[in-house]
Amino acid sequence: MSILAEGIVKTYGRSRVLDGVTFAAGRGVTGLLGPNGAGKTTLLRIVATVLAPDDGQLELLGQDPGTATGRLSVRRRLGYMPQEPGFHRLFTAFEFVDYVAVLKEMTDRRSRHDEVRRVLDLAGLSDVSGKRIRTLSGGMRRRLALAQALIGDPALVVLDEPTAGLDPEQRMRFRDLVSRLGENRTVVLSTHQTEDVAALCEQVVVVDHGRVLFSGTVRELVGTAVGRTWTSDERDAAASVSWRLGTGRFHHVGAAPMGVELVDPTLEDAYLLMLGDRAREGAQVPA
Amino acid sequence: MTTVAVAPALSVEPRRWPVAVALGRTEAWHIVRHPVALVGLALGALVLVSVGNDSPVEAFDAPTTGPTWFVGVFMFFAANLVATRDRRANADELLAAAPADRLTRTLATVVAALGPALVTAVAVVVAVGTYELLGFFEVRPGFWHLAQGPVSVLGGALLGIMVGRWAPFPGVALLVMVAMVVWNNVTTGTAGWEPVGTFTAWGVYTDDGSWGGFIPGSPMWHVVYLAALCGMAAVGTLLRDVPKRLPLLTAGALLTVSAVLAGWASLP
Repeated sequence: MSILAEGIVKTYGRSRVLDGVTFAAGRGVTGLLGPNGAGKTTLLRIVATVLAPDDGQLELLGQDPGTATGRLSVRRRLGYMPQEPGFHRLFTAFEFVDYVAVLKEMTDRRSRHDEVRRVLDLAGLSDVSGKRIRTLSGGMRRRLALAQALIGDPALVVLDEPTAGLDPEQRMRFRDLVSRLGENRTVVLSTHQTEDVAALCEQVVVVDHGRVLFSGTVRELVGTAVGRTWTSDERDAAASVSWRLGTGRFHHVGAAPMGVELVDPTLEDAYLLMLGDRAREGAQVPA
Repeated sequence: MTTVAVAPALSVEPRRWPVAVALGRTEAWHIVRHPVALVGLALGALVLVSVGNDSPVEAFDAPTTGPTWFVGVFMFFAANLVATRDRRANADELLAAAPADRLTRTLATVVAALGPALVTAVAVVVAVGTYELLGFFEVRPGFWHLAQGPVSVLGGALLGIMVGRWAPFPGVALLVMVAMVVWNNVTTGTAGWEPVGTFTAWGVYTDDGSWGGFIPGSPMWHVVYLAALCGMAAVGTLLRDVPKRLPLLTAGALLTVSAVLAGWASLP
């Protein structure tokens, strides 16, 4: 396993942001799914060695990031894309990635520049490599953030909300890239978009209020909603969450009454059921 | 096909110096071509090319004191902006996950300060050679007169970086520069104290604008004094991030003593 986290606790003042998080991730793409404020970003910052946990055991790529040597060893094989990367707007795309490459200890100029060109090409940014970052669109900046995370072919790639702000075409392109990455390394990404998880992730970890509600495969998570999703012609008061479909019928999630027309659940259904009341507050669609 | 440059994974020793030198080269370039630095370089170049053969003091002053005013001041601000760039861009989180830690990045900015000094040195050499060919010099500046330009530019860049590392807040750099100007006004306005300013105009004008000799003091010790101040700024910058401060504090104390002694020796 590339990531072994057990009982991770992180507190900011009186707020316990992570409350004993336990999960593991190996080769492939693992999605952290949860609503805003669930603790996903804090957890990813810990996995990216940017933050240290207050308590709990963490092993990354076989190393203890709590020690200086372990942390350095992990960072040499880590790619990290924060939720808000913070670019140097006067830099060109090439200069920014090159800057990060130097910080990743690539001191030989020629091979470093080759590597910068490679990751910009992977992210589909070769054509704009000489453009200043301030002139790039939001989607291009997200891809630039991803490009810098791929420098040095890292064994562990941590991506925080990587698809935020991407249009559908960019999102498809991104999914293609991340799924390729996951073929031979560990990719952990956070999102509150179930479709990203459904499209990309072998493993899913549902986090809410700093706790892990579920950890397993996407299929297993979907399986928790079997027999708990149904459709009808009218809104059903028995449902936890309901919404009107494009067909005019209503889709319901919750404890299904007897005799209703059950349908196959989606990952979103399972996720909403897992969140329970919180989902009801956030996801109820008015009629 | 492009080869993948994978960072070394076996050693667990920080590769501090190679990274600091490589990053320092990059950062030197960023300082020198920063828009603020370019304004300073343009002004400095303007001063050098505006000298004619009718003013021996101007010809002496332009390559000796010109760099401090017209390059050093702007390099101070450019270096400060480069040193605070990651923080202003909110990029600290992204960079914190890189193997090169904050100390390495700070070390790199100290290395980068050599860039503006090198550019200044080249400009001074070119200007002096040109003036020599054109016969502008009535009195030729000596090595130590000329050295104060690049050394004070180095000091300006280092001071800008130190301020950026310790107080990366808007306006602080400006306040420090005002304090420097005040200090320089005090030293240049006090007879006999000129060599302990941040630069010294060694040539003296007479009332009719012709050469009136040198002000008293030692140009060599003045440069040593400036170099010690540069060292203090470098140490002050690194103190922000080193885990063990005692060795640097010791070096800083020695440099402070050196600056005081060299400043004393530079006085008439």
